[in-house]
Amino acid sequence: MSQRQLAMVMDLNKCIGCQTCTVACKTQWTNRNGREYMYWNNVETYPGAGYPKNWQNLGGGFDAAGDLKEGVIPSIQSDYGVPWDYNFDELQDGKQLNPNVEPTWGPNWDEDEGAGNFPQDNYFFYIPRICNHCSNPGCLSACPRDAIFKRDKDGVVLVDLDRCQGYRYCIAGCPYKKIYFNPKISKSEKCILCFPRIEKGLPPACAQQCVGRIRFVGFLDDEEGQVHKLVHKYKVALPLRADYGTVPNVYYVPPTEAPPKFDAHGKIIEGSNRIPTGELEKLFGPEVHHAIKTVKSEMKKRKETGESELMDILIAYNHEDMFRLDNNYYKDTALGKMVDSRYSAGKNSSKLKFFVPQEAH
Amino acid sequence: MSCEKRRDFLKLSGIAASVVASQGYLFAKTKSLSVESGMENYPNSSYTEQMYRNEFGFTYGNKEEHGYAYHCVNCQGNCAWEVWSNNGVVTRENQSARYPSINARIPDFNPRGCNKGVQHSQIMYEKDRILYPMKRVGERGAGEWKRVSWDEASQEVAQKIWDVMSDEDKGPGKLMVHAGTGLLTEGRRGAPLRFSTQLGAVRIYPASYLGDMFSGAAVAYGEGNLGCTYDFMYTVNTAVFWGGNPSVSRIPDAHFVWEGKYNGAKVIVITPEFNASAKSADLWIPIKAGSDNILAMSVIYEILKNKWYKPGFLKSFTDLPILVRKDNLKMLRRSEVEHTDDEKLHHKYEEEFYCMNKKTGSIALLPGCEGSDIKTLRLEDFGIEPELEGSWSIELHGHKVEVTTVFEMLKQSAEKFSPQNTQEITGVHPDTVKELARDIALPKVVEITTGFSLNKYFNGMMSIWNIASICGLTGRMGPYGGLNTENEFQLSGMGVLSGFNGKYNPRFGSGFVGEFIFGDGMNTFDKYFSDEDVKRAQNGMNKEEYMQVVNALLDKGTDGKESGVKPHWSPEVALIVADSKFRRNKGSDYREAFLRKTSYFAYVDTRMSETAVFADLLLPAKSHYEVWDLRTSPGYHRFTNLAQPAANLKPVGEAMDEWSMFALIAKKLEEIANKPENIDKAKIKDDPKYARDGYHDLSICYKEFTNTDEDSESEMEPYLGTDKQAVVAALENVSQYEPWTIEKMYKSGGFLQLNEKAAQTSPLYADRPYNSNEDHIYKFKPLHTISGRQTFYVDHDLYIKMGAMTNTGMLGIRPDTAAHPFVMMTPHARWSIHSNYKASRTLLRLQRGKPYIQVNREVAKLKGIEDGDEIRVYNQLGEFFAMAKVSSSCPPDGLVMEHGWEPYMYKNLKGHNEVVPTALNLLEMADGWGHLKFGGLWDGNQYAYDGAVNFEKARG
Repeated sequence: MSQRQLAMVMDLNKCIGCQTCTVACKTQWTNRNGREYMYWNNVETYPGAGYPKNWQNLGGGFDAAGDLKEGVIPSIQSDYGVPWDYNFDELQDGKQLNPNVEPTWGPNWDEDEGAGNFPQDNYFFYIPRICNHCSNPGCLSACPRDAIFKRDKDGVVLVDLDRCQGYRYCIAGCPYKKIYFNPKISKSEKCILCFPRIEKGLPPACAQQCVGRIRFVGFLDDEEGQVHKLVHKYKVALPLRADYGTVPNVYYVPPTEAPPKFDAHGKIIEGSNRIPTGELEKLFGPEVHHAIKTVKSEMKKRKETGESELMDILIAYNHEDMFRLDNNYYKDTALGKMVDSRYSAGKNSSKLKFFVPQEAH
Repeated sequence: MSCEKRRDFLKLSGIAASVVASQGYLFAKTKSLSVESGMENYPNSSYTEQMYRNEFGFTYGNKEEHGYAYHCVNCQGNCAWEVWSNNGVVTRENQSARYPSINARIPDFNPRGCNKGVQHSQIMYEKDRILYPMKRVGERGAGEWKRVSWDEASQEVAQKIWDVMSDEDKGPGKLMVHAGTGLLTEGRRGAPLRFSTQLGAVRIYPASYLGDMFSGAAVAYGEGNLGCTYDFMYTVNTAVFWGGNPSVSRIPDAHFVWEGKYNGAKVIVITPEFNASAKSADLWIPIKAGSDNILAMSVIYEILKNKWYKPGFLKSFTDLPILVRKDNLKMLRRSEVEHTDDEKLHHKYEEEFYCMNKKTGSIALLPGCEGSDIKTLRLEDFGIEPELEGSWSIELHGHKVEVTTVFEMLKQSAEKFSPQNTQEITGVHPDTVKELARDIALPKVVEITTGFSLNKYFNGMMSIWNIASICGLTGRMGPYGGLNTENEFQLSGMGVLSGFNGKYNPRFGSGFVGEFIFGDGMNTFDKYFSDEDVKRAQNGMNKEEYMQVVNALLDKGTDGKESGVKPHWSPEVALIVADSKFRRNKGSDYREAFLRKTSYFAYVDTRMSETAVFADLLLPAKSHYEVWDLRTSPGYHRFTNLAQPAANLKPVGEAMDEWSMFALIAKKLEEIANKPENIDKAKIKDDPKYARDGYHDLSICYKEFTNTDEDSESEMEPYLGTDKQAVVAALENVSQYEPWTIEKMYKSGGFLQLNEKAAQTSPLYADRPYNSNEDHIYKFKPLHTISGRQTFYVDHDLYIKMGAMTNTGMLGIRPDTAAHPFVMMTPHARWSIHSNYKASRTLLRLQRGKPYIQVNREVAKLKGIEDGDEIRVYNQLGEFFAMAKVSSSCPPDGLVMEHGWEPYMYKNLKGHNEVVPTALNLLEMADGWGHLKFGGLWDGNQYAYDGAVNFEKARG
């Protein structure tokens, strides 16, 4: 086990599906060098096939006995989607702008489609997904080279690009299909939780740049932190598909908010919710009932009394406070000085933050 | 775990199987290192870690070299971004996220931004950038260009301008210098505006031709732009998004809505489609497309019937107590009661109105009307308590005249719109209407945001006016909420960039009418709409009469010759900046007509837009990260953002900022004017409305543009001519920016905070969100309406003729036929800002890669259409092809397609506007009444949702 574990909580009630996170990640890491088709961060519409297509049915993870389950490697053409390009330079010739391959699938193909009958009971919600930086990573277990490791400092799961041979067992082994094969270097790559940003004081791009303000980042052992409170104190943040047995470290506040359904006459069905709880249970396990109940009762309390610590946390008054990094935690490993001091409120931070002269910010 | 077991679980699918490493290579690497487990103490971590650290270091560059920018290409977001660069090349962008919190109990504005802004770095070096001035050498649109120097290009434009202006038969009215909405920032936009004003060239109101003018709000409040900073959403009890989808089209601010919900707000979304905002709302009302004005009338009906209105508010702050003559349906004016020979006084009397004073039992002049000398609405001071209800017979010069109140007129009008009566039209269950009315009327703070989609329907003006009236009846202004179109803060002194202290004034043409005329809109109208359609939408007026009335109004407006109608010009030479007009305009004939009418058309843009393809000359502009600039409006927040290029930024081609570009053209024009053969003609005659001294002096054109002429020097006007000079001038002259400087803005994170002088109709408190019209209800300040109050009654002849003198419900003009049973909705996009960023590879990969359109799942099944199929969408006007996106979120009677696709992205180069007709609503054509006089506040809208279509699976 790593000494500490960094974790992320995403509030699905606040996710607006804008994909700013996806693009922030792309420009930070995956717009180059064989990573073009990869989305270390993607946002998918549920219900839907997701990205890669039907990832929930592609195996991997562990069975009850703790053994790895069979898995499938998705194909770029049919499951991830080919990162098509365009004839931009021909626009000046008066030509049609065309993708160079016929698009048949992509990372956000089933955006906003949802399921159900319009307008009675159709619904959808968004699930942003990154690597779960699991405590029992399927990819790590599957690697025949033992070339995948968890960082001791923070539990970030990385592929050793020195030793990886590109066998891709990891891809089959990851039930979330959040590890990818880089065809250019013939090695696997994946979300690195932006550890180089974190080491320098900047939260991960997907989280710091999230304009819906749905993502909290911090160490799970930081009891004053929102992550700890949401996961352990209020138990409203749950891992996705915990049944895969990998012990994920990304948690979700399930979507409790949706408008009521209509009956056949267009009349509101009072107290109904478009999102079937059964679907949420599939995604977040039986604990989801408790989580929904807690969120709902705290919302009610807030409405009636104006008070609720849980609502205070989820509302997140200050963007800075959504991230509790430690300003001196990485000083022995990271080279050079911190580039940002705004997000260092974690328990190992020097509390002198507020007295640092302007120049150091 | 053994290797065997690993192989067992591995299964490969599809093509990947053929490229997977063959088993023979397993463990081929020589044993370099023994690893116990990757779970801890991994011995070889630093190789990988260092690689990713280096990558991050490369993208981050040096903090000291970072620039700041925003992406306001007719995006109203206005977000501070830090632009990362390395060695003069932009690598990526990251939000600055340094806006200060104004109140510890209200969420802050960080980090702002969206999926488009976050990838500007990816398109600024894309191959569709216009890098050099390019001159057309083949047919228009044929794609044959010759690269020319800036010197040649500017010389050519200047010569064309000279030729048209100095031609006595033509002159400034035949020249268009227009900045489209691809350039909406205060700094850079100032350049084309200044040049246009200086020359007396024609320009038209963008909000109008975009269909983004809040004409209904202008009727009600005498101001179209009102509402709140978005943090106000956090504080409300009910937030209604009527025709709006903040999670898609207000991305940087949407969090306030959902955080407000956590804080106890009820969020209601009223849209025909199920969308990203509806999915999390407390109530989603799936309304039938375009029936919003009718649903609003049913809400008014419920409010009246249940007496949920606020009589005290109505008496003081609305025109509802004003007396209306029953014989001619006109408001009783002072000019009818008191005769005067003084023309000026008579005019004032025409804008003063009466109520029935309960205290005296006789009529009383209301203070605060436009014509009144008393500028307060404090009725108590005048012993007035108006009656809201009743009819009276009063004596007028010996005749008995029956009068009643506007309130009675409204009640009468609302009578036929019971929720039961309108259910079939709106598709909304009566119980839902009641719930909506209750949620709007009863809570303490309710904000109703009207989406830009409402104005895209023929009767959109009525929708917003009716919604404003809902707010009026329930007393919603200032701290109690109200209508939220789009707040604007006040910036005084910005005229220093675009203005000439009255020496020259802009030649504004109507936006929606201008484009209608330019594109031969009446042909399209005539081709498409039937007599029945017109009768349905214009209170029974038949098509022939409608066309006569409209044509007469258009005729009067030609070359701005008459006031009281919409003015329009027909330019022959056009210099246009950042306006994808061949994409935007409706119908299939616009482009052809525009090109036929313009003999020369130079175009300024950063990229090859649809318009650029057809230009005669292309001038390359700089994009957001390459310029100095400022952006304040609109008022979603109280900050002004700075654009400052990254240090040592390498130029992108020969792109030039607009200030330098227009200064260069002005210089060439001045040179031409000073040629011996030209100097006698250099003073171009013009109406004093546009040129105070009766002429535009082109012999000092450059000097005037840069403020180096004698007058400007003596007035100490700031020097202009580069983008940075414009920023400095604005910071020095706009009092709302005090005491900020570029250096201070940079240090703070690329923005400044507006001071309290930015307030318009409410104070801008240091620690509270802003919402309009607090001064009206707390300080009894009149509104800028004819009555000084919220308007429920317009007695313009056309309004009376349309039966729309007070709020009413009107059916749309969209044909209702079995042959074309679907409404095509093209709302504001998540994936582009209109056409900007539409062609971004990064963003297209997150969509379908080409134009796609949502089709209802059940309907698709009936039509044998599967997801991903190409479909043909058609009607009498034309057709286009797109990929079907089969969706449960699309209503069965509609198609939903994010707008903004350039026609060149479609098969046959024919975009979706091929099937969209154009029309002019008489209620918006009406002009010259009270506060409804042509200008930035009152023009009209180009509509987008009036086409009825059908679709089928494409053959072949």
